[in-house]
Amino acid sequence: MNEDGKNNSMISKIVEKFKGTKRKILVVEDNEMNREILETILENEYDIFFAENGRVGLDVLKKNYRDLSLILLDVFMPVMDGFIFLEKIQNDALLSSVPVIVTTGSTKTEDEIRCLKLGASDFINKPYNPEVVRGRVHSIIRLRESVTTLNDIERDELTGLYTMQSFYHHVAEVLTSDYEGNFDLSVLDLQGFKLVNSVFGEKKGDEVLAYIGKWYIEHDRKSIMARYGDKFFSLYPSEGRMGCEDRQKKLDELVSGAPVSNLKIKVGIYENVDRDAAPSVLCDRVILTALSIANNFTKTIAVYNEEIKAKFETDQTMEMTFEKALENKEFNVWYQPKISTITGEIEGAEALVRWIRDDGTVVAPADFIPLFEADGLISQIDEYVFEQVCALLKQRIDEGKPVIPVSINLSRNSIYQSTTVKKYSDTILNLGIPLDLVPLELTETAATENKDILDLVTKFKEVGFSIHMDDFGTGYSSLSCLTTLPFDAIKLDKSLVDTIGTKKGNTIIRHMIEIAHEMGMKVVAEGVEQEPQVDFLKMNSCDTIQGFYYSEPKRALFFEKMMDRLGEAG
Amino acid sequence: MTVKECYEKLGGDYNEALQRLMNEALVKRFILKFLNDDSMKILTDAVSEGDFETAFRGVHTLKGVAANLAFTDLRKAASELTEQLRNDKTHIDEDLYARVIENYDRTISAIKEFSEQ
Repeated sequence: MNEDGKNNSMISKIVEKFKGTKRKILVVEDNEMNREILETILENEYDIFFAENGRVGLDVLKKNYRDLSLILLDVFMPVMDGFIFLEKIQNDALLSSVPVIVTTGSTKTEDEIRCLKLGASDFINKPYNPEVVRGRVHSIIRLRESVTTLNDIERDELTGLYTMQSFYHHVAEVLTSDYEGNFDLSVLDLQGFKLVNSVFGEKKGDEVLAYIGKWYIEHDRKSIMARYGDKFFSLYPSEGRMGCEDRQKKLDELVSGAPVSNLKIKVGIYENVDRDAAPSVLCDRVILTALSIANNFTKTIAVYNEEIKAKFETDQTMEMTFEKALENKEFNVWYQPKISTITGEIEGAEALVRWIRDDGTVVAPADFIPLFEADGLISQIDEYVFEQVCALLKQRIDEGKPVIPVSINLSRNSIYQSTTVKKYSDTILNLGIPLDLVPLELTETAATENKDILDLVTKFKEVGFSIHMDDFGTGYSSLSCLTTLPFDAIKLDKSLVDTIGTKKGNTIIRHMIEIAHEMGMKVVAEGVEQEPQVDFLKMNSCDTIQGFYYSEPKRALFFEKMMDRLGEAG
Repeated sequence: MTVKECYEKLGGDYNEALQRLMNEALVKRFILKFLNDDSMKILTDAVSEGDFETAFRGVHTLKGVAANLAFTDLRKAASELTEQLRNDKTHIDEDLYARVIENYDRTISAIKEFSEQ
């Protein structure tokens, strides 16, 4: 029999023994005498199982982590030593849920520290003192049982499905098994679930999640299932795959029986998953697949395909090259002029980022901005743009040249970072640039989603910044937002501006401008492209116009020339 | 020959052994088992192959077993060699190694004498 065969039969014998009622301890130790001495000390109170090296120990642990109360681990062993054993289990939430006491004859503190860093709970020194051994074993088991049950780590309390940590563990087990068929992975994404929570309250939100969890358990018995936030994952053999129509029917049932109406769900499916990829990567792929139809109201189900794969890879490349691009100054700041409706002159600009690769190719903002917003890298771009704008203004101020306010965008990610206010304030105050020269534009979604936002805006205002509300009119709470947050200006979104010329559009915009003015806010119209729009906005006292009608975004050089001309005119 | 006399002969601490292993029957059982313990063989095989990494593991185990059985002299000799090899796995100190062999042989012969009576 080869060694693996021997291992397997040994394991099955060990597993066979896992049936007693006493708590179970796994002793991983290569020396038979040491094993027996431990057994002698502990056998009255515990069921003892043995593994003669780390590798066998790991196999036993993987099959029995649910039943084991403790592992006693020797450090120096052939095949796989105690250090490697600890390393292998420390990143697996389920395996590392079983506490490990290291048995050591070693007097080296370094070794002990290394074991503790790798997650060991305690030490027992050789030679064994029976009282000490029993005492430590007892107290570690008791400690672990009082702090946590495996259930907490393994199961999501609300739905009874796996947690993400244990899902990864089980998916990896299945994918690396001998099973020859393929597997599919799906995600059900409750898009807009935050809205459910904010409209109906968190309790209702929990009810929805529990309902879906229950539905999953009833309908999807052959799968490995997990919930993570507002996403439900399921891995199942491809053989049992449902047709798209059947699946759609099931989903319709799910939605119609839900505790809230009009639940918005999107499903991403990855068929015949790549079994060599890490579970987390597979999950990323289905999430992205579901996201690809986020704004498509006619589709509920999307299947991972070459196109999505290509986008995924492009996204990854962009993320990986981001740091380098920032270093190489591939991000350029361009300036789109804002024109006063009263003077017809340029009175400000918005700084916009452009990504021009070293080889000259241009990455469209629509391709990289949503990505960097999603992964958080956008805040580094925000900061970079802010610094560039400050540098430009500072230089012109020092040279005595005319300057006008240049607004910059502050994304949601920047807002969530606690250091943002201090960072931005320090930069601009240290340079001695008047604060009203750099207004901050917050998007409406950024402004409405978080309760802390009021704090942040207030802090920025206290420092002296002016705050503009960007994309006004695109979200669902523009108006309520105006009542709570102290904005200095609103920027009418292009989608609103495009309604100029229709009766309703004209009415809304006319009144919006009135409301804003009455509340002491300026109004900037964005995305203005046609003369009738300009005429209408002027007639209705809109303060400022930004858009292709006057100018597209300009490189710094041209923008500087525009500012220079202001000096000549004055 | 009693178990206690055997311990005196091999340079061990009978009382400590009794305390560690709880009763004389167990002490007797384990010292007889020691005749089959393979850690010394792992050590000597590894040394003859010049594999001091494995030699370290062997003597480290031997030290642990000797300590558990309260074989004081053997434990001390094994402990010194363990420390030498822990710090430098490129060579073995012949004197320390010889002392381990000498103590091991003394231990084995005492146990054999005890078992054959």
